[in-house]
Amino acid sequence: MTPNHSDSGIGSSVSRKEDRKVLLGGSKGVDDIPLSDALHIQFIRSEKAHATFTVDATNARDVSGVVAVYTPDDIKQSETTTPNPFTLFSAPMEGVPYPDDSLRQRSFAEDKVHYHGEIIGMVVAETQRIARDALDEITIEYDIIEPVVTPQEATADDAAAIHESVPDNVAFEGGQGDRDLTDEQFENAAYTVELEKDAQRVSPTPLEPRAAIGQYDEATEHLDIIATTQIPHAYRRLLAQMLEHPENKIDVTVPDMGGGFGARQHPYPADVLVGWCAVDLERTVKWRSTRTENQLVENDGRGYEGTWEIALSEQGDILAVRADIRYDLGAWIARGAASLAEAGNLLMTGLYDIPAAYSHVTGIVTNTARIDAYRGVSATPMLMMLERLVSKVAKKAGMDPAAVRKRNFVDPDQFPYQTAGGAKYDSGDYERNFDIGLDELDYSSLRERQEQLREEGRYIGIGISCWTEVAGLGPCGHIDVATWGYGGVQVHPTGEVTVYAGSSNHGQGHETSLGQVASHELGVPLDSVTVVENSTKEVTEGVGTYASRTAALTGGAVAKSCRKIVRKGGKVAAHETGVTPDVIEFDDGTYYPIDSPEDAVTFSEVARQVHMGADIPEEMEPGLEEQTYYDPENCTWPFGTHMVVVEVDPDTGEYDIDQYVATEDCGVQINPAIVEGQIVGGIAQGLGQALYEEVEYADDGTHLSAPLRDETLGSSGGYTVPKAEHMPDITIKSTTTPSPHTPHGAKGMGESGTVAAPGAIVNAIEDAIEPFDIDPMTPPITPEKVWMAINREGKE
Amino acid sequence: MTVEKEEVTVTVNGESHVVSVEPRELLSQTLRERMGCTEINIGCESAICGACTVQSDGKSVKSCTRFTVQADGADIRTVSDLADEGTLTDIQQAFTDEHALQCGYCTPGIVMAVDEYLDHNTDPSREEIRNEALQGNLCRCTGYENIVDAVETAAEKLD
Amino acid sequence: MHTEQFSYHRAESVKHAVELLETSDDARILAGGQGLIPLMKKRELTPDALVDITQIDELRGIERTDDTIRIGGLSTHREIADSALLKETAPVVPRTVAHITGGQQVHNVATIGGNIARAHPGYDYEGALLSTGSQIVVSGPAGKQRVPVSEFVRGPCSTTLAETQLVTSIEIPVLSGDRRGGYAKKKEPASGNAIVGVATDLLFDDDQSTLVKSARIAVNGLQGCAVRLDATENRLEGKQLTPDRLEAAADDASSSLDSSAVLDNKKASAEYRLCLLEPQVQKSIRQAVGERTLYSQT
Ligand SMILES: Cc1cc2nc3c(=O)[nH]c(=O)nc-3n(C[C@H](O)[C@H](O)[C@H](O)COP(=O)(O)OP(=O)(O)OC[C@H]3O[C@@H](n4cnc5c(N)ncnc54)[C@H](O)[C@@H]3O)c2cc1C
Ligand code: FES
Ligand code: FES
Repeated sequence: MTPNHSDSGIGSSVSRKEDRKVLLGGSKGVDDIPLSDALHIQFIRSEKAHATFTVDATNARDVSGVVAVYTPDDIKQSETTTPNPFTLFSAPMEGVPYPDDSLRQRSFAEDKVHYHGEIIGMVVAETQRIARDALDEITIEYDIIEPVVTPQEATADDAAAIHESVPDNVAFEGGQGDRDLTDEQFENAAYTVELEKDAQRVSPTPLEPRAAIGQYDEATEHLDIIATTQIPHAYRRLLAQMLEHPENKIDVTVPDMGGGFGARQHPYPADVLVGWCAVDLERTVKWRSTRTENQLVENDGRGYEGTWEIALSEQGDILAVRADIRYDLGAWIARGAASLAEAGNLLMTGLYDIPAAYSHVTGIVTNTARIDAYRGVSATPMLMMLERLVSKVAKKAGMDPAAVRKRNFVDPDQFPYQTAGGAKYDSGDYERNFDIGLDELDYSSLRERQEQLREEGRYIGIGISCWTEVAGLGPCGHIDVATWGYGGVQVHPTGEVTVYAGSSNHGQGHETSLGQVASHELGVPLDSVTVVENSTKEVTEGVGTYASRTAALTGGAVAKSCRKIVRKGGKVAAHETGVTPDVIEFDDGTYYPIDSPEDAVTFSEVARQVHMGADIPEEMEPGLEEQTYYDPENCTWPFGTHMVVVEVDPDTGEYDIDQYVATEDCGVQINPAIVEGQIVGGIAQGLGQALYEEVEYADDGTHLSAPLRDETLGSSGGYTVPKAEHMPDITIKSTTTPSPHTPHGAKGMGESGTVAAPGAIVNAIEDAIEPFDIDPMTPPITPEKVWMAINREGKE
Repeated sequence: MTVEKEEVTVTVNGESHVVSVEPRELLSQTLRERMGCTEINIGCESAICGACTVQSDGKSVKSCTRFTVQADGADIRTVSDLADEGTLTDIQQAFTDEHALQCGYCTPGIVMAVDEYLDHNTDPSREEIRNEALQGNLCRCTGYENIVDAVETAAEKLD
Repeated sequence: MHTEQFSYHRAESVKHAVELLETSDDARILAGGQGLIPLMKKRELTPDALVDITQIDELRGIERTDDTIRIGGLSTHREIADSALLKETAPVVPRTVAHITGGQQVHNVATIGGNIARAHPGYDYEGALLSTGSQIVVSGPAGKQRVPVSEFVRGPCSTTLAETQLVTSIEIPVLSGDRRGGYAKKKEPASGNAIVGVATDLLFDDDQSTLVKSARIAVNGLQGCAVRLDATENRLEGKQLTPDRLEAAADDASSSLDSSAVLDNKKASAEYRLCLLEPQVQKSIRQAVGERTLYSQT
């Protein structure tokens, strides 16, 4: 039996099923759900980064309309179990033990605060307005402890300890790769380059601020949570552990959600306390963060600083890469933070066949909000640095940066390819994909033009950055939580289909793409497929959406369930037509015996028959519904290259992006228009990292980047989310190298733009101003920084 | 401090309402909480993201940065009022045709702003779309390109 | 986000507004609210009372009276950008407004009175009003007063306006001849406010002439208040405009400035602001000059 095609199947850019509801104004987020008798929570948050404190809430308790005020003592003294600390996703890396338990994030500060915005307690009132006014009636006395705001400060000799049990503020430390071989390769290298830079902290900033509703039914002890999360099932599991409440008495639903980007992967103290408060008050409680509150504590991404090095042979072969990284964790180790370091090491050799790699990571706590997953996770800093190094070492060796890349690519016949960092890449054809980008730019003429223009005093630059990412994150067993993909498929007696997906849709278009998978497999029109997602009530299991895993894993699970259904239906069709199942063909929604196609039975006829249970093979159970826990044999490794052309005005440091070409190979694309949308959206965030975004803390640990627009005199003006005017038009070119191990050969690709754009843009700017003999720049690269680099005083 | 509530009359998507509000109540709050207009989204609360955009007497405004008392007598329209019995307008249709939305949180606001913009500039260049039509709105998901395409497509159709 | 409580008063006339302002200790004027409301939501401003002036008809309209253009204090950015009268008689003003960010949503409600009264150094109007030699017309308990912009703005977010006064209109002197305007701005990417904004008001005899009858060029964003660029103006005024002269005038932009007063903050260092000045001045003047043909001097 062969899979079936229809107009809306795999590979078709059908319009999204999600759009109509949004465009008609019908989408509903957490804050949009009508609740008749909800109480409103406002969190009492620390205004200081590092201090012991006492709280006086007497006046707030007296405010009319206030139902409860919880100080740390109130929470601890309540009959409801005090929430347990958060657990971690996994140990930092192989051979490195779990960090000290005292570093696991707590839901509230008991007597000492560790970062600006940490929860100290909460006010619960009849309206949000009353709760907000009551906050102003609370007095907190702080006894300041010298804060340590950066990894450098945190590891200084006289630095204050954030957690007594970890006096040096080092949460973990470890190396990955073959250190001796790497060192040896460096000794034998003809050219080496070292970059000492940081990939600055940036904020994921989904457009919808976080929110949660907790509803508790005393009679059944059932806790219903409606929240902004990318992982409803795992959220439930965590809440069950932390609140010591049976998992089967908790449900988590995610209504329409305004973005996630990794920041909504792991729950926050606020989520836990909303659940706790619902149980404690036996009421419906609701919390909606303001943008300021959201930015204050939502996890940032990156926060890498350190030294990255590359070694090249005389002939232009990359011999080794090495990194020594100080990783800023924030005040507590977030659930996913430790494992992100490992993920970065896995792909630190990028698309190149590099025999040796070694990375040393020191995880450091600072008096700042937590760092955790953000689109691109550690691939962004690791590959930005690698790609900067490749360009720099090529220039040092007098070679063309494109040529050095081509020379060092892993060849198609080397797959599966074991990287020196520890990953096993599934498939690839890097050079073919890369050449399409070069052709699109007309690379060699562009280099000639660059030379000519320089003579006229104009400076254009070409930046290249190749990328891969850990997509389709599985297989099980590599971290301490489940990583399969879940997909259930139910065929209604009418032939309509419901897909139950264990992922989470918040912009990725799963209703469409997972529907396309089912439509393709079952030969039914897309319109007859409904996708149910985002709910522990309706979907049996799930791991959620992160790490570009849905296309490969949920898509894979849905496909596998569909195939089980097609097989079962085939048996029914065989029974019906009086042949054996092995001679039944399934094509475009009909079953027929190979030799007598006129005896066709439609899929919906079969569906009705199995459902009724009459006239089906004897050993067969009625019903046409299957589920799959798909545990892939490997992750998937999509790839591509971004190429950027900029022109820099050396007099002012201002730049324009003249051309942006992104090549992409994510295996088989389910919906190319959705893929393109993900690429461009990722590029906008990568461009933000390269040029505009930076989370800023004052020396005293005050978080300064909360507003997206700030008129405070002397401020930076706000946290810049790139605007339409900041983005260039983007050309996308694709090749298709299927993954050998996923059901459709799909790989997933949600993060590529954010991984590739920073390196490509930074390389382009540095290439443009190379004649000025500049020092490597630190993103975000503002025009002022370019101008300073060109005009810096005391230039050698 | 207790203050007197103010009586405000507003028409919302064709229906007239009289509400009694604290002067500090924001138009976005009145529309969302009292009139169920949850299509208005609150993204930044600092007048920059435009997710809360509605049209007031035909002019787009950021409803998070208006007090309800300022809207006394106004005729307010939200994205829910654009389509005619479920038939999408050219702009709405162009947004879905061009894949111009992902999470959709920014979309209702952008559509309302673009709806007004295309009345004034019926044939905008891509640069004008980026700099003017979308100047008052942020989108964190799409990178804007498909939104620019959608506005271009819609402008062609409306012409 | 919720502001603190305040009482709300709708003024029916300027006189009424002044009375309302007088009766409260801590009252603020509410116009478009685009500057005020965000600050109140952050609870950085917590007035007891707001006096809404948007129903006062006498504060509206843009019209010509003898030798001045009167822009009502409640004129919105949108009305000013679209005003045919202003495009004709004081083109630098609408040109400037085109650079105000926030989108049409802000332009539809934000007012010139609110903009100049807030006197934020990143705001754009001040330079244009300074270059056109405008007067701010202010009304208060003691009646009406005309204050030149240069005196009205005292420093960053600070004006001579008393708490019981309001801006009722802005008056721009009419000049006879071919008046041209330009505005060039370097934006700060998050807020959209100006790091440097240069407003140019040039007067020629007609649309062919290259003889500059008068040149007034002002920069905002650079210092706490907008300032005129005397040296640049002197290089142009009364002269035949040539490409060389234009460049030399721009080159000279900072020579008459007090460089110690240049803002030095996270948006841009003082050094960088000065670096941006010359190219922005050039851009602004070129925009004002427009299509007319400039001949090199031989
Ligand atoms: C997203 C965004 C982007 C922006 N970008 C720019 C930009 O690029 N350039 C720029 O210049 N501005 C910019 N602004 C600011 C905006 O132009 C000003 O806030 C606006 O002009 C203020 O006018 P308003 O009518 O809204 O004043 P309001 O907010 O109502 O008032 C502002 C202040 O002035 C007082 N006031 C108002 N009217 C009067 C009056 N008639 N007499 C005396 N006092 C008065 C108020 O009491 C208050 O203190 C931006 C604003 C936003 C929200
Ligand atoms: S929520 Fe109103 S502009 Fe962002
Ligand atoms: S589609 Fe998500 S913010 Fe625009």
